[in-house]
Amino acid sequence: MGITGRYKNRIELLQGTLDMLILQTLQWGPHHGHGIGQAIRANSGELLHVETGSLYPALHRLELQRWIKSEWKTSENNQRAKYYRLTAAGKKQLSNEQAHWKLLVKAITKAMKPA
Amino acid sequence: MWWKTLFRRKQLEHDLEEEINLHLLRETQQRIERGESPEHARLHAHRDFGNIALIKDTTRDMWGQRWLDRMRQDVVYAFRTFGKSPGSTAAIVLILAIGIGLNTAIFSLINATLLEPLPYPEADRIVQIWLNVNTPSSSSSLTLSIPEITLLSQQTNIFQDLAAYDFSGPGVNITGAGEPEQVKAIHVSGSYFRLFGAPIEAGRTFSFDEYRPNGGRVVILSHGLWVRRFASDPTLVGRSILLGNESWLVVGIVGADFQPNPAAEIWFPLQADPDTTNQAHYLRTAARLRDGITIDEANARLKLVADEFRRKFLSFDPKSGFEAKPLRETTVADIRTVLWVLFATVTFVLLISCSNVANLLLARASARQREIAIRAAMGASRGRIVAQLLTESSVLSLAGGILGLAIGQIALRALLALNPEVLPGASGYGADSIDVSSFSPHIPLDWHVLSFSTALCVGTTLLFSALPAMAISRMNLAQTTHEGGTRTGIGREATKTKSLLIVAQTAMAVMLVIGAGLMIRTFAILRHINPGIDPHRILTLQMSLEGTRFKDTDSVARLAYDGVNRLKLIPGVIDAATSWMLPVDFSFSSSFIIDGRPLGNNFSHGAALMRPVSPNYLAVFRIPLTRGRFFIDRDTAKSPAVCVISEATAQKFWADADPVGQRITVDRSSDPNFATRPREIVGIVQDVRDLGMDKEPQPMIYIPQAQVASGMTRLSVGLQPLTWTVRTASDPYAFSGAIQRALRDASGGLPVANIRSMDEVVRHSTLRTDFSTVLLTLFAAISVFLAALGIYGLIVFSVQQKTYEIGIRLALGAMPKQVRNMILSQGMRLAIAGIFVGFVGSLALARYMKTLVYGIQPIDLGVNSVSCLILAVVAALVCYIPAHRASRLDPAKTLRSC
Repeated sequence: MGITGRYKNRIELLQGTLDMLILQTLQWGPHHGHGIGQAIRANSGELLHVETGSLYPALHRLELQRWIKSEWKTSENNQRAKYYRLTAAGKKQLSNEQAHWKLLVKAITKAMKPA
Repeated sequence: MWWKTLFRRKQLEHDLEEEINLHLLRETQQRIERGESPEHARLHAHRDFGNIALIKDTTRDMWGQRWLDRMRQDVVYAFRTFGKSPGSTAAIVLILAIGIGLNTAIFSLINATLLEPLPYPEADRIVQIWLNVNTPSSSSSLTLSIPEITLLSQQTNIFQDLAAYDFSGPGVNITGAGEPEQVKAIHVSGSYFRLFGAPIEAGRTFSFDEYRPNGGRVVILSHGLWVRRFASDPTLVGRSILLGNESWLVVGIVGADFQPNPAAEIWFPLQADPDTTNQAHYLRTAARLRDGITIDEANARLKLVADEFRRKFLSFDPKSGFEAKPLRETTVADIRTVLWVLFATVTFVLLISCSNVANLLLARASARQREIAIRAAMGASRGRIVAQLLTESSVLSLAGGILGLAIGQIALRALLALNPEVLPGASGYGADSIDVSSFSPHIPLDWHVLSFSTALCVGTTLLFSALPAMAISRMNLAQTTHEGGTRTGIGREATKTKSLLIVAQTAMAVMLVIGAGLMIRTFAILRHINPGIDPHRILTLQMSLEGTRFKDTDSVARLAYDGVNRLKLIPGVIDAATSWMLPVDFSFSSSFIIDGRPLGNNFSHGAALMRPVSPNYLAVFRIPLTRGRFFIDRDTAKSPAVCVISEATAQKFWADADPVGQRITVDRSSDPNFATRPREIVGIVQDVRDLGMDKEPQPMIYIPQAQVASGMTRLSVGLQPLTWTVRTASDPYAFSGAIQRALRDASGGLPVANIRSMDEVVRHSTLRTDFSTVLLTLFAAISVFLAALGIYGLIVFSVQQKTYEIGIRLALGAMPKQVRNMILSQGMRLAIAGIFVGFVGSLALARYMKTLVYGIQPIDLGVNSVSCLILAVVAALVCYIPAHRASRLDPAKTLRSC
C-alpha cells in the first residue's frame, strides 16, 4: 500500500498544508530548499518528511504567486544556494493560513470527539 | 507575466538544475559528516531525492504556460525524428501537399465562380427573368421582348429596379482621332445603373428623357476606356466623341471597380418605345426582388403576369411562362457541374493522400514501438505520447499545407493558363449560355481560400493521425520492450486498419479512373464527330455595324456583296461569306408556319434555328448540298423569297412529303418592319452542329441575308457584329492583314475584331470537355500513383515484418515461387477488393457524370472494365517487386539477423 517501511513513522501531509509549512519556516529568515525541508522535519519532531518531489514544485509555485522571493546567495560555509524569503504578501498569506488552520484543527478535533 | 517566463525559460532551467545539484551536494555532505562513506552518502542522497527528471518536470509545471513549452519540446523532437527518416518524411509532406494543393486550386475556382458574392449591392436578391418556351419536343429559356418588359416593370409588388439590357454583341466603333477601334457596348434601360450599383465617377447617369425614344445621342463610358482612349481627359464629360462617325455626347464615366455583365465599355440608353408591339426577344431583364418576397413567391406571381400578358397579346403561346432565376444561376449554369465534379475528384485525391500518409505513419509507428515503449517506461503518460504523435502529425500537415498552398497557386495558374475561357464560359449571345467573362480572370487567394486550406490541414491531420495514435495508445508496452519490437507488428488490429485503408484508396482510385475514362471517351467522340462543316483554313472576323449607316437590309446586303467581291480578289482567298453567327457557335431560333398545312389551335407549326447568310456561306464551310440549290447573288429583296432547309428540318417537318417547292413563312409578324413574304424552299443541305459540337444538329432554315425584313436586320445589327468568313488556300492567319485591309476599304473604314480561325471556334465549342478531360485524367493519374504507392508500401512493410517467417519457410523447403505467390496474393486480395468496391461506387456516382459525358452512357461497360483492369495490372506490378525480392531471401542470413 502507500506506506512502505521507509515511511512507517511519518505522516502524509494534508493537501495544501505544505505551502503553509514553507511560509511558516521562512518566517524566521531566508532559507534554501534543502534547509527548508530539514527545518520542517526537525520542527515536526522528525514526523514530517517533505518529499523533494513536492517541495520544489511548491517553492516554485509560491514564488509564482509572489508569496516568496528567491535569490542566489553564498552561505555561511561559502556555498552557493538559492535562498527563498517571505514577501509582504507572503506574510499576509501566512497569517490567513494560520487562522484557517486553527479553525480547521478546532473543527476536526470537535468532530472527532466521541459524542 | 507569463510571457516573461517564456524569455526567462533558459535561466529558470539553469537555476533549477543548479538548485537540485546543490541540494544533492548538501545532503551528501551532511551524510558524510554523519559518518557515511562518500559513495554511500551520494547514493543515498540520490535515492532520497527521487526521480530527478520527473521532479524537474513537475517543478517546471509551476512556471506556467507549460503547454507552450511542451509544444516547443514536441516540435523540436518532431523535427529530430523527421531528420532521422528524411525520405519518408519528404514523401508524407509531398503527398499531403498534392492533396491539399489540388483542393485549394479547385476550391479557389469554386470560390471565385460559385461562392464569392457577385459584385453588386444585395446581389443575392437580384434575379434575371426569362421566358420559358415549352414545345412538345423541347423547352428553352428566352430573353424578353419590350412589351413583356414593359408589363414586368409595372409589377412593383414583385420587383424593384427592373432593368433591361442587351448583349454586348456588336460592339461599337470609336472613330475620330487615332486608329478606329471596336469596343463592347450595351444598351440599358432606366434602372440599370441603380440595380447594379454602378458608381458614377464623373458626370451623371442618363436622364429620364434620355431613356425615352429619340432621347438624343448620349453615352456613358467606362473608366478603363476613358483612361485608355481619351488619356483620362478631365474635360471629356460634356463633350462629344465620334462613334461610328457620328457625334455622341459623353454624360458620365463609370468608376473603375464596376464589373458589368455582360462586359461593356460604353453604355447607351435603350430608348425603347414602351408601346411597341415588337415581339423580338433580345433583351436580358434583371431586377431586385422586393423586400420580403422570396423567389418562389415571385415565380408564383409571375404566373398571373403571364396570364395578363396572354390576354393582351393573343399570340403569346399558352405554354410559355416567365421565370425568375437568381442572377448567379444564370451566369454559371454550365460550369457549375464541372466544378463540383472536379471538387469531388480532388476530395478523393485528398482522401487517398490521407490514407496513404496514415499508412506511412502506421508503418513508422511500428518501427518506433521500442522508442515509444521506452518513453512510456521512463514515466511519460499515454496522453503525453499521443500528444507528441499529434504534434508530429500537425507539423507534417502544416508543412504539407504550406507546400500545398504553393502547389495550389501554381496549379491554379496552370488551370487558368490551360483554359482561361472555360471559367468565364464562352461569351456567346445565347439565352442560356454562360457569360461571366467579366468576373474572371484573376482568381484571388482570399481569406475564404486560406481558411478553407487551414481547415483542410486540420481535418487532414486528424484523419491521418487518429489511426496511428489509437494503435499506439493500445499498444502493450511491457511486451514490446521485451520482444525488441523488430519482429512484431503493432498488432493485428493495425494491420487490419492498414488493409482497410488500402482497399479504400484503391476503390477511390478506380472511381477516378472510371470518371477520367468517361471523359476521355467523350473527348475522343467529340474529336471524331463531324461538325457538318469543313472548319480548316477559314478565317472569321467580326465587324460592328452599329450606327445609323446600316439601318436596313439593303445597306447590309450591299456591304456584304461588295466585301465578298473585294476579298475574292486577294490571291489565295478561295471564297468568302457573311452571316450573323458562326456554325458550332450559337444560333437564334424562330417559329414558322407551313403554307397550306392546317394550323389547328397552334401558334405555329414549330420552330427551327434560323440563319440569314450570304450566298457563298455554303461554299466557304463546304456544307454538302443534298438537293436543289443554295443561294445566289440574284436572290435579292426584289426577287422571289427563298430559303434552304437542313435535312433535320426536312425529316422533322416533311417526314412523308417533298419539302422542295413548298412554302413557309418565318417571322409572322403584325409589324410591317418584321413581316416577310412566304418563302419557297429551294434546296436541302446536310446538317450542321450549329449549337455546339456536343449538341445534336437541330432543324435549321437558311435565309438569304438580302431577303430579311429590315426590322430584323436592324435588330441583328444591334445584337451582334456582322461575321465575315473567308476560306483561304493555306494558313488563314497569313491572310489576316490583306483581309482586314479589303474589309476596311469595303466598309469605309470600319474596324474588325475577334479574328479567329474556324478551327479555333470549333475547339472553343468543346472547351468544357477538354478542360474536364485534362483535369480528371490528371487527377486520376495522381490517384493511381498514390494508390500504387500505398499498396507497394504495405507489401514492402509486411515483407519486412515477415522476414523471419519467410526465412523459416524457405529453410523448411518452401519453393521461392510459393513465397512469391503468398505475398502476391496478399496484395492482390486487397487490390481486388478495392477494385470491386470502386466499381460498385462508380455505378452509384454515375449520374453525376451525366451532364459531362457525350455520346456514351455514364455507365460504360468498356470504360469500367478497362479502368478496373488498369488498377489490377498496376497493383500486380507493384506487388510483384517486393514479392519477388522476398522469394530471393537467403534463409541463413535472415534467420541469423533476426
